[in-house]
Amino acid sequence: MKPRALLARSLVLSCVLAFAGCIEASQTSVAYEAVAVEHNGGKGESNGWVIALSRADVALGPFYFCAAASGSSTLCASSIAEIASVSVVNALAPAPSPLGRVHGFSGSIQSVSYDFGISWFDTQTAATPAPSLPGRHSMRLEGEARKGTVVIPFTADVDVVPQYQGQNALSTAEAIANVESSATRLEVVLDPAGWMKQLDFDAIAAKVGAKGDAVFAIEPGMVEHSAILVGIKNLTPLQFRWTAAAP
Amino acid sequence: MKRAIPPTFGLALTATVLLWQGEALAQEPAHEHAPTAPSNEDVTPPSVLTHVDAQYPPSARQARKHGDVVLALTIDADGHVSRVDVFESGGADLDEAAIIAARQWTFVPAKRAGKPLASRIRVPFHFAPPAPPPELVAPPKPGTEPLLAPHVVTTPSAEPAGPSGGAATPAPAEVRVTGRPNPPSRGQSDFRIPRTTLTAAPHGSGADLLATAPGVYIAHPEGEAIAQRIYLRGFDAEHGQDVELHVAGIPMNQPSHIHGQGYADLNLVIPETVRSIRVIEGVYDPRQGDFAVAGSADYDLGIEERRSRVKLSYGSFDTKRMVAIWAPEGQPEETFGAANFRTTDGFGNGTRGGISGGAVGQYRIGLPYDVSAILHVGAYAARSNIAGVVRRDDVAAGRIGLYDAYPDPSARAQSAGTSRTQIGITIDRRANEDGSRTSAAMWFYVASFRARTNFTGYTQRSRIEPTWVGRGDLIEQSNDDLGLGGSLSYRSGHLVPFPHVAIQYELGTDVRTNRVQQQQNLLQAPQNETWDQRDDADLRTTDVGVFGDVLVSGSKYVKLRGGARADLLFFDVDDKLGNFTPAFSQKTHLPGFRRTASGIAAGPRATLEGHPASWLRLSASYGEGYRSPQARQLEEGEQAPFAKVRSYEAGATVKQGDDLSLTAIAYQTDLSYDLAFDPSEGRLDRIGPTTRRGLVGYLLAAPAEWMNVSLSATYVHATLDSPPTPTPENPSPAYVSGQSLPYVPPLLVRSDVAFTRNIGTASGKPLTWKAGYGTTFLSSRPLPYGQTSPPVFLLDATVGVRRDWLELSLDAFNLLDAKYADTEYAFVSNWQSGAVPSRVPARHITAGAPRALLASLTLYL
Repeated sequence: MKPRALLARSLVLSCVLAFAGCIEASQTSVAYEAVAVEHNGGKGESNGWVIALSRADVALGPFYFCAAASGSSTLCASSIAEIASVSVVNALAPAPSPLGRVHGFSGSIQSVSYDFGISWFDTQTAATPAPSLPGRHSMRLEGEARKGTVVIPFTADVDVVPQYQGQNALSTAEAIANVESSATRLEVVLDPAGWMKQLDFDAIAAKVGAKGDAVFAIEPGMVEHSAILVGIKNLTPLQFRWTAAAP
Repeated sequence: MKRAIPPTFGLALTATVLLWQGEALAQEPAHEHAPTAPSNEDVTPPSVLTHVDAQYPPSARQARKHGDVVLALTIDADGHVSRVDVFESGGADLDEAAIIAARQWTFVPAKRAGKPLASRIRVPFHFAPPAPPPELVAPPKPGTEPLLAPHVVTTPSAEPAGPSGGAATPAPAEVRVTGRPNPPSRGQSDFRIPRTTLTAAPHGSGADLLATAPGVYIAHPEGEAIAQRIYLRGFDAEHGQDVELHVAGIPMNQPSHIHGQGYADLNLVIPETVRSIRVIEGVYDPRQGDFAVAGSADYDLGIEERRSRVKLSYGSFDTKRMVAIWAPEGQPEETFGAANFRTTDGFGNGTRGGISGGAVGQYRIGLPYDVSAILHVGAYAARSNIAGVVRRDDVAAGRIGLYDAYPDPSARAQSAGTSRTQIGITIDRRANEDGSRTSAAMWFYVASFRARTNFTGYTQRSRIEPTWVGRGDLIEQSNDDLGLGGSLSYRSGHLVPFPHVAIQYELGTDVRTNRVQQQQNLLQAPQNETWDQRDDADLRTTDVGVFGDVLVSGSKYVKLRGGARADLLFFDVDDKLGNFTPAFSQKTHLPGFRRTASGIAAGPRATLEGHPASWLRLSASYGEGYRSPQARQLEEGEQAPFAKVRSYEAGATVKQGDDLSLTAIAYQTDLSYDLAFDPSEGRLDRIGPTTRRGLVGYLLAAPAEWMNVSLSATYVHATLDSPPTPTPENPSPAYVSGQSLPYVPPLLVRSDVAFTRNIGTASGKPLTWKAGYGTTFLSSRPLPYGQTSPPVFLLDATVGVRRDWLELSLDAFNLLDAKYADTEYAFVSNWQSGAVPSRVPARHITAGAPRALLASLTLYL
């Protein structure tokens, strides 16, 4: 074979082989819908008191999902997915309320950290409510607790505040999933009536009776406010469910 | 410029030219005996400008014919050979070979009182058959460029230069043509990039010249005062971690540098002083040491045209550059001095300004007993601002421009300053008749580095005071390095233990020791208050390397060359922040952790080469190399965990005459552990083992006398071979078998095309125009998380015209004004561009430079 012919054939062969490869990737970008889902219809029971909420406006977000078992910002500086927004939802609505979209990557999720609309980001000198918050609180709950003929109407303005700069209000919680594609939906399940179960309504009834207030108003700094926070953070935290997205 | 003929089979050309000074003719070059010049005391003899080696004629090969030919060359006032006479014949075939070569030589003409005049010189050629093994025989053996520095070193004259002619033959004054050794080829991936290719397209820095080698891409993501980033055949070599770099024989890689292992700043190199670059892609030469993972590159410095000059340039972004080169006639190419200064505002919104300058000088000294020495001095300093990265999503949303920097004080505080001074001496005893050779070198450098970079915005938390957070991730790194080293090697003569079998061996050692002081802190802009300390260490490293190299030549068809190399590395680390007790813990001790570690890295390298036909060269190579670990990451007594690399390749080169060659290579490189950039720390961290497999096509062609073409295409499939290292935040990283390595372009195509032609005369002087261009195509690059970057096509071009001492040129960089990312990253950042910060890794880019023009005026003195 002549050198020039060999050169030409080699060149063609090289070009063909050069495009024969392919790119393999272990993770891909995903984006899917997240919704808030009410649980128990805003009703609950505690120590003989039947709790019924008539209003539950709850600020949710942002959410940071982590591949590690701890979603704390100090241990999970890099999230696998997130909802980088704050939404205020009617936690009593029978239909799912949109929470925005989850953006991230495919793979295993083991934990989550999140705020209730009040965040203390790295660059903020103090915990700061999102502009869209109702009354600049994390949530506004209204309802009543009934025990026999005793009825305690109540309102609660709750602030779920991060403890330290750079941390989330709920620094880590369990959230297990293996997201493989964007054909996924995240349901964040709330049980606001469950958060009220930590309240000592017998003691509240005594206070109401002593003061003669028509409505018992719970505000930050009160013992009852701290009790609700225990419910929110520890006893009845948000639940996270990943389901296949509706076609 | 004429191109040199590469040697075929071991032409040993005696490197001597006898200058027949007495025959310098002032008026009548055709009449040797015309006594026209009254005196030539003030005559400057002609010196070789370009030369072409004579080829040993195939007809003489069978008889293994030795012979001497002496030619008498008449050189006209333009420096061209106008007449060739055979003064002493060596036989028809040898005479013809010598005449063919000599007719292609060009000269700086002889001069009297500064005016060129015709002259006549005598040039002897000595022909020897291809000695087994010819490559190691080398007294200077040419590659694709003339490797014999073609000029006069000494012009001793026993007699005063008198008028030419007359019946008596004046005593010739011997002048010696010296050259640099041309190391033997180590397979098809041993590329010698000649200056013809290096100068085809404009290059903004010495580092950019490397882009002319197949499979190499050069980026400058961090401005002018931080080393270039090198991509070589599927390796993201960062600032040099995977490429062993030498400039004039002095190693440039800095071990355990705070900004990246093997950091090597090539900005010291003044592009105009680079004569050629040897790039070995792979590890096949026993001389390749630490950091030769993807390969190695050696910059050879020299000035071919022996005229001093000053070059003044002005261009886009208020860029000003001045280069002064001293290259006196009558001195070897290696003897020169050069200095350059550059200032620029940089592109974008005023955050890329920089000032830089440097000087490089070399002096070649001839010593008795065929010993020569080259003294080298180089210094460079630069300071520049850094624009840093921008998020792709911010650019796409219009929150920031591609060429902008974030307005944040921490982003605007990014800058770097660096300096390096180096001194070296190389002593070479030229090959004896039997081919033996002895070389020694010593070098010394002092380098400083200080950079302030912020890749991530506001994500860091102080380790000293953990409640301090969100003060800006402005990472300050400093690295002061003092390096000292040297080498010694001896190459034997030819041994013939058996008929038809010849052996030549070389033994050598190279040593280096470094003293490094390094720190890493976090600063709060704009006052640059230190709010965290990350590293503070003193390092002492020593590398003692020994190698053996053997060439076995079984016949003219087959050669085996190879050997082995071993390096002992020793580390002494004074980690002043080691065993640090955080603020929330009770103190039980003082911080500080001093430790020592050592290890030995060893491996073979070999190349089998065959020449089944005169136009075909086949070879297969294998080699094992290593990269030393970052000293600060070592534990007490740890056997230094070298990154081990194994390179394999097979290839063929087809040549047709001297005008066309095509090389095809298939290769594979396995690396035991790779490194990747960690933006949160601004340095390199380990990832797992990796493999690169690919193909290379490399075409060199000279379709016309005035045109040279270099074209290469490199394909690579780079994969991660095991799951990434688990981290606290990602205990089980996602991984699929055959996962592509991010940031590596699968296909890289590079072309360099040069045109040079005389277009007439102006006022009696020839006008020469020069043009050229270089193109780079990067295919779509895989990024983390299944994303890809768009392909990139870049075009750089130059055009110029020269008349004698005046040259005007215009360089265009990124002529098509492609908007592209010079580098891409994926990591978490918070630049406060949204109400809620994202913690998901996002794409970040550093913008490639937009179109830039640079006009230059060069005055030759």
